Amino acid sequence: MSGPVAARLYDDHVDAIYGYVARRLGPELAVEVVAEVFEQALRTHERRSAKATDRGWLLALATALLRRHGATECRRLENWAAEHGTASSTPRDPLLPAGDAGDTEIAVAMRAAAELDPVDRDLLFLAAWEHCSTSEAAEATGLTPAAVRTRMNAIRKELKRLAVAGRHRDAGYDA
Amino acid sequence: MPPIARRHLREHLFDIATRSHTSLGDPHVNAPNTARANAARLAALALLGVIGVGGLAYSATRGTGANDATPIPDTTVSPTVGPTTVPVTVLQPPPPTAAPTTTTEPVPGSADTPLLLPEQRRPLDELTVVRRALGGSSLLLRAPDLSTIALRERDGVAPPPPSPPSTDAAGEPLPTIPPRIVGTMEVVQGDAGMYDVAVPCGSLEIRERPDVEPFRPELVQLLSAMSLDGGAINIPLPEGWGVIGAGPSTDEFTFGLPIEIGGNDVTVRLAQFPDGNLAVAGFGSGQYSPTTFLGQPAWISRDLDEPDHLEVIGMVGTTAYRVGADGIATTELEAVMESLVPGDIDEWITRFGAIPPATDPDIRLCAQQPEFAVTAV
Repeated sequence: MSGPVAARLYDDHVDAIYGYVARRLGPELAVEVVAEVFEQALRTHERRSAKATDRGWLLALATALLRRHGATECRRLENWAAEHGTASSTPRDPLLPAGDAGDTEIAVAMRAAAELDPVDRDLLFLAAWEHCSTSEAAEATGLTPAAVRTRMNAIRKELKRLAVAGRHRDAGYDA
Repeated sequence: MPPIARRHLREHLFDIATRSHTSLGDPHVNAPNTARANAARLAALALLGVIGVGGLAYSATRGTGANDATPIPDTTVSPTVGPTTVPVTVLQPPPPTAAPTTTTEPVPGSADTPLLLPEQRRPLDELTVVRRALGGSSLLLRAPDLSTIALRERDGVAPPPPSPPSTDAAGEPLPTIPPRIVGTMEVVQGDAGMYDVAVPCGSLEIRERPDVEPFRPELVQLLSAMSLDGGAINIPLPEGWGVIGAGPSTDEFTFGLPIEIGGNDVTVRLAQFPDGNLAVAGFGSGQYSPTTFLGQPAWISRDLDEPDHLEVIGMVGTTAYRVGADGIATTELEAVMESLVPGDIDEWITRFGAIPPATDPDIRLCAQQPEFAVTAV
């Protein structure tokens, strides 16, 4: 890959890749991971699939690297959930700002996401945060589009189950 | 991503890509080194040999007049002694037809390579591109006391009407500095050494040394000589005044190059103005005096408040520059400049990213756009 081609690839996609990684690992670690993504892209561009889009290919590289940081990501999700409130059994204060209530809901979802299978977590964040299409999510995770659709259905059910269990746990009930 | 991290990473990747691309080259298109390919090469060589021997034999039978249409230099060797031999014609190689390799060295400050860039791709401390102000221009003057006064005009719409004075908590208007009329010019004093002159459209700014009293005699002398004629800013230069530089606003490419001098980290800041002039490079409160830099006439500024700081403006070809740093000697600054290599705008874009678009000031509603008209008295 020539310098100008590499520069264009970087300019076109660095923001998206950084956003994806930073949302999952935090900004400090994200710079390091993004650097690794693009270095790998330079090293392996000859082996990439001819069908892969640039974005899907880079997301795939990023997703593979993110898996190395699975523990960090789960810890971050748990911390985020702890900091931004927990689901409570007490009725929501009608004067509570909407943002706080939203945070509580997101906290439940974050905790649930931390408990997902790593590949399912990848799919969830690619779809929810990066607005990836089924085919892009398939490219990024190495699954077939059909498998992505199947897993996404399963993820929705699993998240619902984990969220309900999380609320119950926070409220002091047995899950 | 933080801009500095983003830029450093871009530089790093560009460097890797460029080095690997140039060291490995593009994908090879040579025939593969297989048994089949080798056999084909041997067959081709044999065929060439047969043709060559046949050609020689044919030439020998036809004698030297074998090709009358294309005279061949007479290289016939006539043996003088020995047994009877057949004259041998040695075919001469055709004259070279390939164009000679005339790679021209890039010329610093030329139209093709107007910029100076660090040879090695390395992280830079600062990187900005400021697009030219369309219709704007600058003027750098030297007063009789050898101080420097810089002026800059920019096109634009008519200035807004003055806003009502600010009031304090009790609703009483706060005191403001009223504009001062000098000659026919209406001047508003800003921070030390900064003045705005009222013009029908756009703006006219004056910058001079900040460590002197406001409206010092030299400034008043200049303002008194100035007059407005529609958009034209007439400046008949009084006796003893000189022009260091003048010209239109141009794009400004700036980078900060971190270097180490005597164990200290120093950042050399270089601003370049392709097709520029000394006035656009030297606009500000810097007080310049003539010097020789890089073997060329240039202007050097040393700030009285920051004696460690050194700044030089000059020209490399058609590119104006302003280079400066703290804690650096002139010779060291020259050495840094000499270490840079010529580059073009495309290289800047490839290495550092796209440059911002130039904005066109909306001048449709205001016809009398400012323009300097300097004359010597």
